Amino acid sequence: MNIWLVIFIAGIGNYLMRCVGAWVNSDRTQAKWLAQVPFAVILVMAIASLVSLIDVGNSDILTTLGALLASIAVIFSNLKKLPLIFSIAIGCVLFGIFNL
Amino acid sequence: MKNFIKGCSRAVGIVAGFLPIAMSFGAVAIQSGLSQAQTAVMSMWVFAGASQFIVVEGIEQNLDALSLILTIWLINLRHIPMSLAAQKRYGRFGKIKHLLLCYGLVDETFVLESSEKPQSFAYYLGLHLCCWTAWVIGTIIGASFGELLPENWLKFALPGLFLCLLVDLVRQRWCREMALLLGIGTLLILTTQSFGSTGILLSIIAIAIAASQLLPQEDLL
Repeated sequence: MNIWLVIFIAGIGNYLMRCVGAWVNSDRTQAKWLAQVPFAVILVMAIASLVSLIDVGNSDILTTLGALLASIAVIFSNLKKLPLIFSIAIGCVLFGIFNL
Repeated sequence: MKNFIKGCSRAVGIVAGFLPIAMSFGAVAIQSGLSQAQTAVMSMWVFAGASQFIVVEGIEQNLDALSLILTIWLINLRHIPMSLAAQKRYGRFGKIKHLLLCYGLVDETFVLESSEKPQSFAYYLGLHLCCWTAWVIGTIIGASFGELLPENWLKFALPGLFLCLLVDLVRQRWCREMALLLGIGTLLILTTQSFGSTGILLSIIAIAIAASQLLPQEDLL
């Protein structure tokens, strides 16, 4: 198998999918549901990344607990309107402490 | 230049999340027999985390080239609705700049850009370039130093970023229907989790359709 060819063709396909919006007539693509795609992607990525994080850690109790506490801390700090980077840093530190 | 730097600084959260994942990818790719050059070029050209890991897994399982390519494309099908949704944001810069920005359209940049008001081309370019550079540099570090690097602390960066953006969005658009949508959405994501990337694509489309029916119409792009 030529891995260089796989990389090349896979990359072209990916790029073409990312470019669909540049080629399609904008009048045809302003469906009501498309306006909600950003919200859907954010929700799916938030939940899916948390679930996979727990899976990656083989679901041990400390990883799960660390992920839960870090999530609560991030939500709380965000509600308190701390800057984005601080909220993420608080979550990372909490998660890291539980996974030393 | 000012907007470019502003875009770069906005990417810090994503960069922190990209580095450990890219380093893991670099290490795993080398272990599965890819050369350092192949590993680095894959990150530069494909620039899609999940599908790159799948390629490595496929190589270990001796999948043929066609299966590998089709799997990668299937995983990244979600880029089509994302690209359509980003049309309004990038389309105003003209075709060439639009095509250039499309190269950096990944989950993380899409989510971050969707959560803020439309910005300049330089801002988006800075954001995309920083994320791409972090992904490539992380891959090269991982391919060079492998498992010597501690990753645990930064593993929460991307989930943390998504959570922050979700909280912001929910706060802005809070209503009774939103609570219902969050419940349905979470259940759907957990149910389709076992289908991998196909499940993610299905969840995105289903939640977007449900949101268009339940939530008051609001332009987020």
